[in-house]
Amino acid sequence: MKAIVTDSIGRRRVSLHPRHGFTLVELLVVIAIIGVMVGLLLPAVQAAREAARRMSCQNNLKQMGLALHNYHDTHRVFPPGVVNPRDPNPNGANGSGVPAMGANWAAFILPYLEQQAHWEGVMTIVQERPEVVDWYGHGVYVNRGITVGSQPLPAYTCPSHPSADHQMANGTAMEHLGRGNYGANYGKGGYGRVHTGDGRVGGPMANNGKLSMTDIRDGTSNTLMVSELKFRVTGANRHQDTRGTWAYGAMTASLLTTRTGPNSPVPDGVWGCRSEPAEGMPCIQIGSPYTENYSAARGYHPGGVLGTLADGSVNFYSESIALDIWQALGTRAGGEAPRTE
Amino acid sequence: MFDRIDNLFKVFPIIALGLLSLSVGCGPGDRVEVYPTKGVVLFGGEPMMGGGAISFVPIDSQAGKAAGGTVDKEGNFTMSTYDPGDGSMAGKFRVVVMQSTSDEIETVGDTDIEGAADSEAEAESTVPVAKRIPFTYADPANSPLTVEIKPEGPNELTLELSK
Repeated sequence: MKAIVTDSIGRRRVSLHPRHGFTLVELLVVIAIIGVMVGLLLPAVQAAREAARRMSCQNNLKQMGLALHNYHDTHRVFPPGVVNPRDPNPNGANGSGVPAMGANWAAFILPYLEQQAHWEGVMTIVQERPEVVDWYGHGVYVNRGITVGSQPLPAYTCPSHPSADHQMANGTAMEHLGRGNYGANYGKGGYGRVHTGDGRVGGPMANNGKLSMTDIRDGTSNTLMVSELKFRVTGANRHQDTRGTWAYGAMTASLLTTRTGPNSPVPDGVWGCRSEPAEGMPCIQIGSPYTENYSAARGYHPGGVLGTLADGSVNFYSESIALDIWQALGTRAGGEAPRTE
Repeated sequence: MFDRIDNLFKVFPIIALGLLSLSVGCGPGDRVEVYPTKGVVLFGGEPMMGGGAISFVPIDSQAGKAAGGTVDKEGNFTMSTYDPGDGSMAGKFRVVVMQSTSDEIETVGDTDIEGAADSEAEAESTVPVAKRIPFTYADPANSPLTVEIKPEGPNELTLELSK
């Protein structure tokens, strides 16, 4: 070994093109430089991935906007936020056979999102069980091949949301509802018709609402129609959390308000949630009265949420948006002068 | 060997510059300065029962994320904006207080049997009617409570609610 080393050193000395190995210092410098470059590149790659996911979410919102417009073309009104015969409080009626909470806006636009099979499932359940929502995803129907509600639909799922394959299971018979990421705008007030019936407060959709374009007096370009919602990813009680459930027409499941800003630190006031501030999902229980339920738009995009306006356009709203502008966007006939920041 | 260490020192500023640009590039975007804010909600001189939510509504259409917080069962709250407990931006705010007067009974998932779906999910009242705050405090447009958050602090608030 020694002889060879000596030999090679000797050869190097006489060579016209000197060759030598790398010293530790040189190696460390190279590694440091590579480390810095990777450090610069990785966030960029992650940002590009999020940008792609965001585009997919934007596309979903655009499709919902188109579907809602097609619904409007057919029926001359936007769909109700939810059919709710016991407005505003269907609590305690679920599973009892008493008509409680029915189909929501996301169900009504299924045929316009090329989900005809799911829509027929809705109609089958509506005819057999007027209390409807209890039976979405219920084993009784799933066994017959009617899976409406029990699965997340790609059209209602934003890929920016961390994936979680669980379903809601809060013990109120709506056990098997699949998760979703979009909510119809109920305006700057709350859940009940006391808020949504008033155009100065309510949005373009409401409980049992039959609102048309002409009711949107603020202008369709100044009124939010659909925005984003989160559902719980971690925690033992995540199954009991109703937030982010596409087929369930309750506040924060598939409905939201602009009462609090995008990704607001204010806890959502809803029935059937378990607060999780660490996930950016604080909430308090507001069950009496149910009319006062409210929920912020929440999403996983850095810095804000996406939303579809009533004219079908999709925009990004910064969470730093002045609250009065956001609330003005939420109302359908608030009479606010359009204002940007 | 010594000039190689010299080389390292020449390279070092470049590395440092790289790291610096990294940290600059990923800084928070349009965040505003927030100041620690906490306090207590009193109703009729006693801490508000049941807990709830508190929210700051900017009075003069101020941009920036508005703060919010959870009121615990003893009436205490800490405002948050971007991170839990970081505080509120400065300015004048209307304070909205939502009281949680009932709790959902903990339930367990049912079995997949028809008819097993019975639900007694009615509210379990946690606050007697006499201890419930008037609705006007929960109205973002008309709540009579206002506060001013100052950068110099201390922003320790005592919110007195009355019937």
